[in-house]
Amino acid sequence: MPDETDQMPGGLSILVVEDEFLIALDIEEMLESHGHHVLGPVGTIKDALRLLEDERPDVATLDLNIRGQPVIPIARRLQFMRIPFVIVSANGSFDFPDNEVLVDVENVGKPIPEDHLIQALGRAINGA
Amino acid sequence: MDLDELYRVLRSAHVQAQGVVDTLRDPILLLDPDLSVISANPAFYQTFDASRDATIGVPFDELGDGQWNIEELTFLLKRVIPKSASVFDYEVTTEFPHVGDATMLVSAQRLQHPDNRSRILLVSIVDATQARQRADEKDILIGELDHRIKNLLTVTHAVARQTRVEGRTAEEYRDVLLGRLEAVSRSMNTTSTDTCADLSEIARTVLEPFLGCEQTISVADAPTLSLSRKQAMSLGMILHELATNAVKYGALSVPDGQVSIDWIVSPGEEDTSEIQMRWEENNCPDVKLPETTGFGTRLIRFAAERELGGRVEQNYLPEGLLVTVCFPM
Repeated sequence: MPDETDQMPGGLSILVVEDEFLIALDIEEMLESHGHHVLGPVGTIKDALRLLEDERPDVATLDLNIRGQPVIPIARRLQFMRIPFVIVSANGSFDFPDNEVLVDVENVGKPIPEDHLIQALGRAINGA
Repeated sequence: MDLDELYRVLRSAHVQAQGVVDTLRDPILLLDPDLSVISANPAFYQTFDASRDATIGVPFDELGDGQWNIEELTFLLKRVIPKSASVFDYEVTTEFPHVGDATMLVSAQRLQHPDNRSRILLVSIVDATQARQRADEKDILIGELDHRIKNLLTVTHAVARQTRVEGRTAEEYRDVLLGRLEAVSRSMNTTSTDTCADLSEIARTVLEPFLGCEQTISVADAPTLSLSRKQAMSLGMILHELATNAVKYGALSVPDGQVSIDWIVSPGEEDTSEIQMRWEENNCPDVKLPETTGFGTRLIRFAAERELGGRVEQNYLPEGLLVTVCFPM
């Protein structure tokens, strides 16, 4: 049910990268309830990169830490493909090496505020 | 007191003072106002593997490979004698000869002397490398813990949001939600950090709340399987959802119902092995199909396919439901 603050067109395809499956299920459900199509959710960096070889999402949500690995390779690939993305992480800061690719990227935070997630995705798309 | 006696007293005080300085484990230097070394204690020579020749009379900022040649530190040290200032725990983190990468804390003050016009600087150096490492490790652990707590809270939110409200009283909703949260907690308990869980233990732990039923639930003891934390969580949640469905629609809803859980390991693709776990309901001929495909069904499919990288099959047989979950080891 899109609400008025939802500045985002419906029916987007959204890549979800999240390694905790109960959270991934929840994000998927949130996005689908707003009329979007979810790619994934994928829970490993390898699976995400493989998916991006065949598919081109409109936007993506990334957890910062995927099974102990920083999400940087996926962020870099998305940036290269000019696909906007938001971070969904309990980490307050992006405090690890090679984090230039995350500069100016919005972190929705966890636990995930549904409206905030939808609005952040809208901002990412409009800013791209 | 004659002179001999005074000499003995002074000598003994000097020997004691020398003994104190020699015994200290932290390196100590005495510097003149130009910051050249007047003397050093054994701990200094030992810590930095330095010789007397390379130390005595050498300017402080030229000691070693010039590790102490730091403009700010020199500025601070030069103020100590004229201004009676002191330097407290000035941190120098670099590579030191003989020591390697280390963090040294430098403190300096004018030597205490009765006439208070001392022209000597006492510099002590404390190796804080290990303390710093411990502090850093503690920060990392606290950060990790903080992250886990927030993640767990996020999981709790997810389960609460995904648990269907429609057609349920508040009490029913609460019980379903608490059941699921208990399953999350029980699944997590079978694995602490970096340890593996056994499938048999996971099944028994997660199904414990259902063992009080009059129906029989039997869990195989073998073969023993070591599962990762993520696999344990997925299987724990799958078993919980199957059990709650059975209470509502299947073998745990009829007096003589039976559930048995067992598994086999067979060679899978390439060098991997594949686990086939069976949830088999018996004495339950009139098994009802769930009316809706709710969160439980989605959860089972998602956990089996995406999390475990396998597949799930549900068959409604004459004796009851048979669910097979296959996944690579």
